[in-house]
Parts: sequence; C-alpha cells; structure tokens
Amino acid sequence: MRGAGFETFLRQSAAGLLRLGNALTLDRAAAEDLAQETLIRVGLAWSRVRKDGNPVGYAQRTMVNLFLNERRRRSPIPVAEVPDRAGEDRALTSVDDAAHVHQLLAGLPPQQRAAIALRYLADLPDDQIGAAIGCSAATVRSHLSRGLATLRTQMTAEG
Amino acid sequence: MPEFLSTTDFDLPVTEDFLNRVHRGVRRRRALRLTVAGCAVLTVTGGVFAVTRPHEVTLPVPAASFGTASTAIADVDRFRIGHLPEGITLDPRADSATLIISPDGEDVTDGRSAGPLDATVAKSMRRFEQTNGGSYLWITVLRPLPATPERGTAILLNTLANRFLNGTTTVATFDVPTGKARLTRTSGTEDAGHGLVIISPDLSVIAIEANARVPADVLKAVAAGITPA
Repeated sequence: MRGAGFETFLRQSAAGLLRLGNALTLDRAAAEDLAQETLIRVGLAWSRVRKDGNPVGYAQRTMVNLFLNERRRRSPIPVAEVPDRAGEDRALTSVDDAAHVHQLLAGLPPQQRAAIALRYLADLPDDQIGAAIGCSAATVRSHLSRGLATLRTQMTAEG
Repeated sequence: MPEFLSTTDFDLPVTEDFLNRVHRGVRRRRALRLTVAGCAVLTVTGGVFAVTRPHEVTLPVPAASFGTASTAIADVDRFRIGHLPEGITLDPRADSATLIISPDGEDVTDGRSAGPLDATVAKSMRRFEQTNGGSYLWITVLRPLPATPERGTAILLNTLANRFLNGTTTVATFDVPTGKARLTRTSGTEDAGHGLVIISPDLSVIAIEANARVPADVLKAVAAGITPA
C-alpha cells in the first residue's frame, strides 16, 4: 500500500519536479539527475512525508536544498558566451529566446534563481519559498525583486 | 509570470526509464541503509567489549556545551566528528576530491597533472541534514598532500583558509582539540549566518559551514567535538 502511494505520487509529481529542476539547473541532464535524487529521497522518507501531508512541498524543499548544496560545493563555472542570434530565421527565434532566458537566469545567484523558479513555476508563496531556501519571507521578496530587476536590466541593455 | 520567463518552456518528458531509475535508486538506498545499520550495531557491540577490557584506552567524550546534544560519530578525512545536535543525521554519501592548486592560488581545472610548483590538496566533505531532509551543516577538510612543495606552505595554508574566510568577519577566536578556531559571520547579507574555520597543526583546514539558522553556539560545540581520528 505504501509502495502504491509513492508510485502514484511519483507519476503525478515527476513532471512538475523535472520542470522545476530544469529551471534551477538550466540543463536537461542535470535536471533529470536532480529530480531523480529528489524523488529517491522522498521515496526513502515516504512514510514520514505522507504523514506530513504535503509531499509535493517536501519534494520541492528537498530539490532546492540539493541544488543549493551542489552549488555551494562546486567551483564557479564560467557562463558561456552569448550565442549568435538567428535573427532572420523565424523558426529559430523562439529557440534562441529560450536559450537567451536560460543564459540570463544562469547569471543570477543560485538563491535568486531558486526563488524565481519557486515563485513563477511552482507558484509558492513567500513563506514557503523561504522555508525551501532557508531564509525569511522578507529575504525571499528581496531575492525576487533583485533577481527580476537584474533580468530586466540585462534584457533592456541588450535591446 | 514575467513575460520573458513565459517565453521559455522548462517542461521535460517523464519517461518510464526515469521512473524506473527512481524506483531502483530507492531500493538500493534502502539496502545500503540496512547494511550501514548492521555495521553500526557491530561497531557498537565491539565498542562495549573494548570498554570492558582493562588495558584499552577510550577516546574522551567531547564536552557538550548545551543540554540537548547527543553523540553521533562520523569521520571526515583524518578527523572524527564526535558531537552533533539532536535530530541531525549524517548524509551517508561522502564527498572527496583531490585539488591541484597553482602557485598563484588558483585551482587547476584544465585537466593537466600537478606540476612541480603546484600543490595537491585532499578535499573531504560530509553533509549533515535535518529530519526534513534540509541541509544543516557541512564539514569540509582540506589537507595538503605530501607532494606539496615545502616552500610556500604557509601561503598555501592561508590560501586554503581564505576559501572559507573571504567575505566573512571573524567574531571570535579560540582553541579546539584540532587547532585554532575562528568563528565567522557572513558579511553584508541580510540573513548572515555563522561559519567556523579551524587551522590544524598538521596544516589541514577544517571548515564548518551551516545554514543561516544554525546558532554560533552549535557550531562551537560541533568544533569542540572534532578530534583527530
């Protein structure tokens, strides 16, 4: 019965966690690894998580913790140069835009990126975002404000 | 959602292979936990026998500085972690790597082998988590390996310590069983947390990093409980 409960949760939540993982890591393989590790940890703690009543929230917190921990232990990786824009090729425009947004997000500090992902992809309120990334709701608002301002500034500067 | 974020599709397909990997991972970790628990029982049983033998020497129990503490043993590099707050558990995965550091203090990341002027440093880290899976603290040991050039050892030691001291303010210094400790506070952030850096006589640097909510007294108690293994 316990296994069936986790199986249902896994199938229902995997898409959302992969999406959140993709927004955090901005890399498909890394997102799959992050989501896999997250779900394994949820599976190991399933009996406790189920009693807690909010397995999705637990999974999101676990994922953000794993992401931030990984960022802490890694040396900074230089951000790749901006790719040439397709310009005339309408079919590629959306792809380039996506790549561009990825690149802008990659330039944000991990906590700001996590706050933006949790707000705009997971629709979490400030206090739950704060619980996930280990800070107060006021600091979450600061992360969101600064992160969005940075993104807008960069987009404006690049025309 | 801001417009520029709405242009990006972050969706990834959920494949059966992905779901199978999750199930396989859960099964393997459960098996690993059972194995580790079995080994722990054997270790404790062995410890009881050791204490009852008259000529055995037992390690001193570190002094706990607050009442809710419990003892939890883990090793990181050549050091034993003898004290953790109640409810904090060890992430079973140990993280280790060998760093190559050039004479100017930068990590060599281009894949080349260590040159005669480069230092090689063993890096070991253990992570500790709360009952909800959230990170609580990290203990990292950086230990120069014997191949490190004698000349410049002090510079290397400063380089290693500064990896954890940069961007912080030292708020206290004191002795711990493994060396000289500095309690630090992160500079310039709203929710500044504390950290702790120990410089050991064997030229190892031990860093205790924690989430911003961990009180300084807890870090001090953890540092006091670290002993040479």
